[in-house]
Amino acid sequence: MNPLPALAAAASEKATQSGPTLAVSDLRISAKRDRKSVELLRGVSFHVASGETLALVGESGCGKSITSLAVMGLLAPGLSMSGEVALTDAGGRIDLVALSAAERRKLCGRRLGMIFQEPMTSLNPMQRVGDQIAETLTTHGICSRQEAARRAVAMLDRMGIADPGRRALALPHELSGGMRQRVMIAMAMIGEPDLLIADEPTTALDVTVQAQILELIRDLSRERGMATLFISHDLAVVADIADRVAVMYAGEIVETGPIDQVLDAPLHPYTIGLIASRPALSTERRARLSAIFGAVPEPGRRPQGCAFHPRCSLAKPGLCDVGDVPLKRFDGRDVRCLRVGERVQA
Amino acid sequence: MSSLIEVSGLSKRFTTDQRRDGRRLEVHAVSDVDLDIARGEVVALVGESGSGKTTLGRLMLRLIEPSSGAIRFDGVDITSLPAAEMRRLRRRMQIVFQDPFSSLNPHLRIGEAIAEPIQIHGLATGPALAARVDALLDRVGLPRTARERFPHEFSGGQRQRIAIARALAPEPDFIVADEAVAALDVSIQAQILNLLADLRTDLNLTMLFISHDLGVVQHIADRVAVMYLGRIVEIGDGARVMRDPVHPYTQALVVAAPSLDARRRNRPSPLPGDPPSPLDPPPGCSFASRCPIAEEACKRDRPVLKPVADGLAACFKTRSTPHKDPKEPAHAA
Repeated sequence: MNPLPALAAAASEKATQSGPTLAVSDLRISAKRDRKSVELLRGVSFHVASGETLALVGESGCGKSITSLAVMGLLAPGLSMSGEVALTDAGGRIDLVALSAAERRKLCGRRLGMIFQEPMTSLNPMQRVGDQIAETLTTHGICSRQEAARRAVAMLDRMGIADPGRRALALPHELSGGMRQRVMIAMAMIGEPDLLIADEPTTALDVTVQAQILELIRDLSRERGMATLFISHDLAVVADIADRVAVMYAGEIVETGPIDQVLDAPLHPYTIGLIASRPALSTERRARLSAIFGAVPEPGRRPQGCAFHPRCSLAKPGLCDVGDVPLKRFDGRDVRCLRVGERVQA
Repeated sequence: MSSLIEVSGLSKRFTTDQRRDGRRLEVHAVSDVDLDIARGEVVALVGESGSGKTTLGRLMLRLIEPSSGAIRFDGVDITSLPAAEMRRLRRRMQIVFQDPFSSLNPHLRIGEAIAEPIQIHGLATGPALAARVDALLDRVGLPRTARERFPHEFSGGQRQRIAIARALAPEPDFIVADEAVAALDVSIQAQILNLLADLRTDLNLTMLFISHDLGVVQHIADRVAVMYLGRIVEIGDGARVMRDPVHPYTQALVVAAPSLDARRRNRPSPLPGDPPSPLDPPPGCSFASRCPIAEEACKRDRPVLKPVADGLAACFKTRSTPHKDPKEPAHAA
């Protein structure tokens, strides 16, 4: 039976280790539609080190959620997938793609934690929330029932929930949306996972509650040296939590680098457009927003060449509309744009 | 400027199935709200879920009936206007909803959907009707070929353009936009915000813009009203309220709003706790339970809106202060 201090010590040891915890390389996913194969993800690679938060950002249909589902092994049947998803830690290296369902269940909660957007669909409506949180510990035989119940209450307390002993006895519908989301985070965190995957965890929440939840995830990942993969459509939320960011468009990463660099001096025209189209408190009132014209291409209708070129004001015929565009190292980042160097020199 | 729409002492209580001491409990959705919107003005209503902003918007259009209070539209008291007269007036007041996927009839061609309100109000028929539909499609930036197509053939942003065209069809004076851009991706959201800004200028529309996104709000609104637990706690010039908020709740809201400008480093701790239950609103200031500067008096007595800066705020702890230098952000320290 592991007492809490021992776990905490193990966690801090984990934080000091080097090497990526999660490594995804050349992940490709395609669906069959009308007997044709439609590419949803076109070779996505990234890594997340322990203690680090990587955010995947992009608009609907860019492939960020399907990436997280693939990492969690929750892809819908009927999709074909290739590439590598590897989780490395003190216990060795695990290929997440090759796992059987039973093997994966053994990892969930202990090495892999997940938080989704809608807590109501992820929680069991008939089970007390304290029991749902404790279940991770008892399922993996980490401690006794009583000890698990005690730790579940301690975890709720850590989540900033007032009167945690009483709340642990509540059913999900008796709690507010913010509290349910905190319950889900408690469930994901109690097993002290090496990797946390959070898919739009604050999107359904009010801003003051969102700020509480983001602070919580930040503190916990730092304390426990957890690697966090954070998926969001909102660059401003990402600005609050990520160390690095990968901007996705039409199934590809188009720009990736340290969060401040990407936000302060975006290089890819799509990243530039995303930042400019968001009305900020500092934007002059009634100034026109620089919207990106057009819309994201539907899967299967991906344009030739750079997927963004039909919406890009810098696109050059004969250059941007032919052939695939590779990620290029530029100014401390990887950018998928053929004109990136030229523009800066001009 | 004369007001186009004016509400006073407006309240709405919904009865629930829950009972206490044999009496049904009531949700106090909107409590004692005074608000007037001048002709051509855009007022934004901000607040978190459950603060009553959607209910207030619907009360102003009389889509739901108030429990008490009065609504005046263009000088006419419409609080208890008979149904037939209200229907005639409806031409002048329209609403755009958040979800363009559920607000359009999937079986109606776009041309029919846009023509419907024009026909209902008997504004045009035949070629004149077709010309009006075409003009509306042009106006919202959709191709005229859209007329023959169905909603499912369009993306979210295009559907929201259709919903806007439909709202504009009877040539209203007043539009309630209830989270009209909340469901859209940012790049599309910017397109729709630009469209709303153009329409507002070209057609001199009066608008109540309901949103939870402070960035969006400050971009589009002349004035901002902040709601908490069914009451307006602060109202004033949009840019000033966002930059230099007076009420402690508005301050917390501005600080908590994710922003590319103010990243985590200098953020104070987020507001603790949740709002009290609208089933049982506290006797004093509704924000007192979460307020960092609340005193005993705040829990006992309810503050009323009083003049501050260029607007009003309901807080005992703020004095009527002179307007600060607009260049100095309130939460910089």
